[in-house]
Amino acid sequence: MRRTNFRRISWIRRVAPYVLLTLWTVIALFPIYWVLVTSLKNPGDVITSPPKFFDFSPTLDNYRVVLGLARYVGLGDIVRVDFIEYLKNSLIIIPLAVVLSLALGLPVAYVMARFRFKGRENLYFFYISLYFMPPILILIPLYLVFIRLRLYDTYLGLILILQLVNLPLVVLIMRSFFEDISPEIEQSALVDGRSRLGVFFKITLPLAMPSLMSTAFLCTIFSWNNFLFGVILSRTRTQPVTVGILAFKSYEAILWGQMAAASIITALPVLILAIFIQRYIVRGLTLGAVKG
Amino acid sequence: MARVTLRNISKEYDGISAVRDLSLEIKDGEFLAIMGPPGSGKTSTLKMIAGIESPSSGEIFFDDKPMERIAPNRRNVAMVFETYALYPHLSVFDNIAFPLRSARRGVRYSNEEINKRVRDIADLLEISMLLEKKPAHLSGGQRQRVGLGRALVRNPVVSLFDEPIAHLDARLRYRLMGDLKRIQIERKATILYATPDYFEAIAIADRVVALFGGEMKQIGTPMEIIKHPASAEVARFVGDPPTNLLLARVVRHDDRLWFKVFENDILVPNKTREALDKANFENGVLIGVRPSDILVSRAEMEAPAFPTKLYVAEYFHRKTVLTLSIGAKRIRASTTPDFGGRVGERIWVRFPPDKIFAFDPNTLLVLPASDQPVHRET
Amino acid sequence: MASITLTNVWKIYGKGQNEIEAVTDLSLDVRDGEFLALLGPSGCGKTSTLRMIAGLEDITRGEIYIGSRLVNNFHPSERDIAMVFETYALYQHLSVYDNIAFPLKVRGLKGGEINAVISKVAETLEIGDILKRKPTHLSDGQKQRVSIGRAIVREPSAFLMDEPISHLDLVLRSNMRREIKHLQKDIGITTVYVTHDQLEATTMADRIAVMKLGNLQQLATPQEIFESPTNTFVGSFVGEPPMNFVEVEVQKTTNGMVLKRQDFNVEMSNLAITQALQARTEPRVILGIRPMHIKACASLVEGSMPGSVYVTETLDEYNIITVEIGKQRILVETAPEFCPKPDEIVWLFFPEEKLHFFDLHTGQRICSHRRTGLKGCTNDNEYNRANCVKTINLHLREGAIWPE
Repeated sequence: MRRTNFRRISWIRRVAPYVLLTLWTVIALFPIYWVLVTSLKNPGDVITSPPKFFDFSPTLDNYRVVLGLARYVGLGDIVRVDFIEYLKNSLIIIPLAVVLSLALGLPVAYVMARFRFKGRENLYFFYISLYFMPPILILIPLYLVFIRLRLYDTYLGLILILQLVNLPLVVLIMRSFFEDISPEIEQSALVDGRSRLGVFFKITLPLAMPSLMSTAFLCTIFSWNNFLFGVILSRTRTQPVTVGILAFKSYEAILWGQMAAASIITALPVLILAIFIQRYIVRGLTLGAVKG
Repeated sequence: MARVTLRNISKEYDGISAVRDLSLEIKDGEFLAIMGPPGSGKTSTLKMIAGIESPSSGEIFFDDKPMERIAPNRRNVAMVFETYALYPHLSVFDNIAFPLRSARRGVRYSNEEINKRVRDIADLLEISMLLEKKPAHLSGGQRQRVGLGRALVRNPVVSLFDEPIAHLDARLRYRLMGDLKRIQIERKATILYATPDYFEAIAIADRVVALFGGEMKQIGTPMEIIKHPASAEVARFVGDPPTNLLLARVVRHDDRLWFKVFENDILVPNKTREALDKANFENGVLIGVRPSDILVSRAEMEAPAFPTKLYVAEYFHRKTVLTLSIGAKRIRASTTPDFGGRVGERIWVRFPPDKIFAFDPNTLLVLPASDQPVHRET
Repeated sequence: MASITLTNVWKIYGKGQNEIEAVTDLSLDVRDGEFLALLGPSGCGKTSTLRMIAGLEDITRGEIYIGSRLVNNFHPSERDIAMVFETYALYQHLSVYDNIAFPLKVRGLKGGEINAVISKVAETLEIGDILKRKPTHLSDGQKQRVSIGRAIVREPSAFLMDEPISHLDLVLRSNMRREIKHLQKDIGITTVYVTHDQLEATTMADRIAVMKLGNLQQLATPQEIFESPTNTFVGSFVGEPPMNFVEVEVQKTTNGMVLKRQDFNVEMSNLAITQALQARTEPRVILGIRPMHIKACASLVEGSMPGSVYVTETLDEYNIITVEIGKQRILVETAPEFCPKPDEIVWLFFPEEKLHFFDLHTGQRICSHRRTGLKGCTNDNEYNRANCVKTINLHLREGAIWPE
């Protein structure tokens, strides 16, 4: 008698976690689901009450308009968004910003890991402290500076200011990684005949690759998603895609369907990048712990 | 091949002295072992010769050429690290070939030559079947051999080995010790070999440097180190089991000097007399006697012999090592393999007077210093 | 105190296709008060065997008896054994005193009694002055002794030790070896000790069980294993420098036979061995001989063969010379005074009674000379100091032969 009760209790115990997890997954993924669904709806279906979750006829019209393949007819042709331009801007600015962060940040991280000098920890703290401060605090003075330096609404301006987002990340992660590489491996390469530069490129960098890829990827995500700098420090020519999505909201109407489609398209490049990077990182990790 | 000279080398890390005032001349084509316990400065010394670390003071010369300004990659030395320091992203083949491919002025190896050299060394070290693998997939012993291979594949001016065979099984250790020695003889290479195992040091070295606490306590041939230790530290480090050290008082009667050991008077040998006469050793001397020199017997022996209790007997194939306790002290003696021995048994022990070393209890130096080939080069 | 008996014990992990036999048909006995070492390379099943005795692993097949009790189904706590691990397994938050008192409290002893027991143990293990400390403030050697102390106070029937000192440094390891052995002999407790280090096993154990890949290779005293290894594995695993092995062909001659391999020639005249070897269909055998048993001379001696010195290693009590005969490399142990230079020619003599013969394919022993009334090895280095030619005949003795 006791035995059967015991079994039933454990059956419930086994199933309950899965139920809870499924519930939570649904809640967490719902916003993404809703955006995807909205992007496939006709304007009419978007704002129905009660909201339609499944029963609507999907359409790709929103995507066609966003990508400039069709024109939005209705409401007097008031709203016209050149989304492709925004996408192009982001695709230019972000990769360049990331490359610059790596080029600037890697040497700093390496020097901090390998050499001891006065004020090293202070400098390190300075880099980290860049994250403590909310960027919005400096935006007004920054705006003025940008105008003075003629950086306003330029690619260069945005690339430079994005370093504020990327550099601390590069220095933080890569310093710790460089410290993990046993100095004796580099010493061995020196003894074997390489110059310091040769050691860095032939030994240190290849070993750092997985970490480097992850760092570059994180920088890409943060830069790509950055909204604040784009909205204040750029105008007509160089607004990134994050700002571009806002354009679908105007006085007369909010083009929800197209905004949703634009959001999905915005997310795609980084998503594709993630899939490629994923493989690289996993492969690199097996090389990681070869100590001794 | 070159002569390496160290003059008054010192190295400090964060105020802690790793090497103190070390002066050493390594002859061209010599196999020199640096022997000492962990932390005695062996690795620091090797790294300074390689150029990876700079001495806090002192100078290093290769054939009278000062090495201060010369970077490690220009010194043409090879080094085997205790931690192997293999390149994790390269295969075993590429690891070993790395030094041959690292372009140095004037020296370039063709692909065929690289191939041949790497494979020859791999055969010698029995790692030919691992050439395509990466270090992460190798055992500790295999990794160690790859490190060795990387150093042996070149013909450098000086080769530096830091505990190169510590993690190998017995069969390989014996084989590689022999092979290393043979290679050194054939190539007339100058080799520095650091090890905490005195066995390795005396087996294959031409001369041995005993390093303790960053200071060189003795330099000499293996025989000299064993038979004439210059300090108690050296005596205690060498031998399996190592030399017994005991504190003994010095007494004078019958117009002669005696060591008082466990209530027995042992005549002080002539060579030590002078040193004891000159100085005043009121608080006693440190005496040393090697386990193989101690006479043991189950039957009572005539004085100066004393009874001990057997703490434990260990059978080794060519000897038995007895650990004997006298009161709170323990000494070790080695005897024939068939001795047997029961815990608690009474064993009589005698120290032959002419086999006793005497050391100053404060400086730990041997007494007398006069006819011992002790080298403290300055 | 009790004996331990294993009868046809198996340990199999996994099922069906993925079955792994960790221990195969193992039968051995540990006598009351004996120190038995389970020796072998990693993966040979020694730890699995120990854990089965302890009750930490199920016994797939076979029986294990502690004393006269069949303990197969007994929980570890009911088997009356105590285990000492490599990682000490001390309670970090308790002092040394409390660590050792723990099993006593569990048993229900009172404060006064506990105190008495611990004082005695502390004295034996010389840990009296650290009783108040916590494990984090102890050295490795001290931790190991506390671990042993905690095992001793339970007064178990047997001690089980799993490589308790292999991670310690050389000096400490030598000391701990002696202390553990002394303790075991002092208390007289049956002990099973697992190790991969043949030196530990040889110096500490009364008998050694050599294992490889789950199988028992030989169970004998260290001396017997050294003198008569049952196969090439045991011969190569125990003894330093390692045993020499040469694959030779048995050929008949007028006087008896000769063992040949290229330049390598050993003549045999002993009748019984000759017959045993020639009765086999396979003419090739593996010849084994230990470095210390080979005689080396600077000049030609009857029955010896020449070889070129590859390298000489000088140790304090003896030298090890690697001699090349043809393509074979042979290790020879000699007196310290005998120190030939590289490429010099030396003459090696292989005394018949020190030769071991093993089957070429299985590695098992075929036969060998054995001296009756085995007492131990004589100091063969005496031989090398004296004049080689004159004393050669003294070392050829007739003995009993065990064809297998």
